[in-house]
Amino acid sequence: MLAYETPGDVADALKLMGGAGAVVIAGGTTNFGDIAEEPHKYSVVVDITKLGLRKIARDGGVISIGAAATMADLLGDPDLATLHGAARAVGGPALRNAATVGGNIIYGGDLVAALLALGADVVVSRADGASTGPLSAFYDGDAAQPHLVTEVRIDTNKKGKFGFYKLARRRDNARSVVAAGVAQDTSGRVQIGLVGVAPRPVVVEGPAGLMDAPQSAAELRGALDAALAQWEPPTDSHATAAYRRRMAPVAVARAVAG
Amino acid sequence: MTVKTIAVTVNNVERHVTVKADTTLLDVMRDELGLTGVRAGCRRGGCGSCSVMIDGALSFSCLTPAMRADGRTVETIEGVAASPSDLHPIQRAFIKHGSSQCGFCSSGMVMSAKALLDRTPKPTRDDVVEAISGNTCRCTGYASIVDAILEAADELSA
Repeated sequence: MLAYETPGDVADALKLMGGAGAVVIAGGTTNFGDIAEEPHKYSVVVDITKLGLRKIARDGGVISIGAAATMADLLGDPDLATLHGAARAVGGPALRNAATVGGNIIYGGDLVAALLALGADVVVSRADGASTGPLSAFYDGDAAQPHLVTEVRIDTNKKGKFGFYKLARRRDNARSVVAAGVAQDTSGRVQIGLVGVAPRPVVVEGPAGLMDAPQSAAELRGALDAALAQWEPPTDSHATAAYRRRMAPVAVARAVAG
Repeated sequence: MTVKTIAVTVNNVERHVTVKADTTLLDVMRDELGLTGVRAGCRRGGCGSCSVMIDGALSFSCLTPAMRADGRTVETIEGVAASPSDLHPIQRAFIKHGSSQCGFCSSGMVMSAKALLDRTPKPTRDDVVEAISGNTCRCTGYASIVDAILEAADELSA
């Protein structure tokens, strides 16, 4: 019979996660429906909401967001206004009261497009300790080894410009076709975070100064197609790969236009 | 642990229910406590028909492990009206505006409206649209629901 465990620290959580048939649950918005429908597929539910990871802390302009912070927590924090558009793009109010930052990172949700563009760092715990590195590198890492995202960090000292756009079949409460975050630093360098253009979130360099000199989707298409050529977008009930590829520059252009 | 007896305060009454790891709060409400105003729709957080308040926060009961409700306070649609003859202003406004056809989404809509008006007594039309954005209605086209919530807001804040 399926067990339910609520570990009190990260080491215990990782130990439980290493067991056969373990499934991790935080907000539950992505996977508890599946667990409830097919409990026989799992042996233990590891509830990671009692690890003390819901804090949002500030240190000299660097904001550390605990992985268990919810979308609603982000929306309630005026210092995180840059992320509000992306946080609001996730579901409706009830979902945002539960859906966590860590879950969004693990499942590659819309918030990640913003976090990647902003050059966020992520703190990941494994059995051999915790490490901090760019979120973009996290998606290159070994997902098979038990790991727990505990924190994501945004450096708000990096002044610049930012835009976000989620393209979906409905305005609200819909999965994205493509979500794009576009960040330009003070030197004019542009980073574009994208969800929906590949089996995983990706970040690509955009045309320098894009936020000051917006380009149309048609103008952006060539460079973006080239930058994303190695990736095959997912096909699902929301969009085909071809449609997602075609919509990527549209989402970027709209993120820039604000 | 595989089973646990939780203590949960539902509509101001403490209840004790034995639940499994995979039991949803939705199924506790409907199957154990008989509160069938909490609807089982998509069971994936997509339709909002199972919406309840947990410790005052709007929540999808279908995505909430019942284990996690231990020690919490839950309000369902059954707890919104003072009595069947004394409906909440949101419920009265839904009737007046014909905001319900098949009625499946109505309890979730009312819970979302209540969550909004508890925090934002004088919402704009956009606030209302945003507040019910997690609730799907396939009958009404939403306009009558938004009208009802705005009228209830006027009445409650008058």
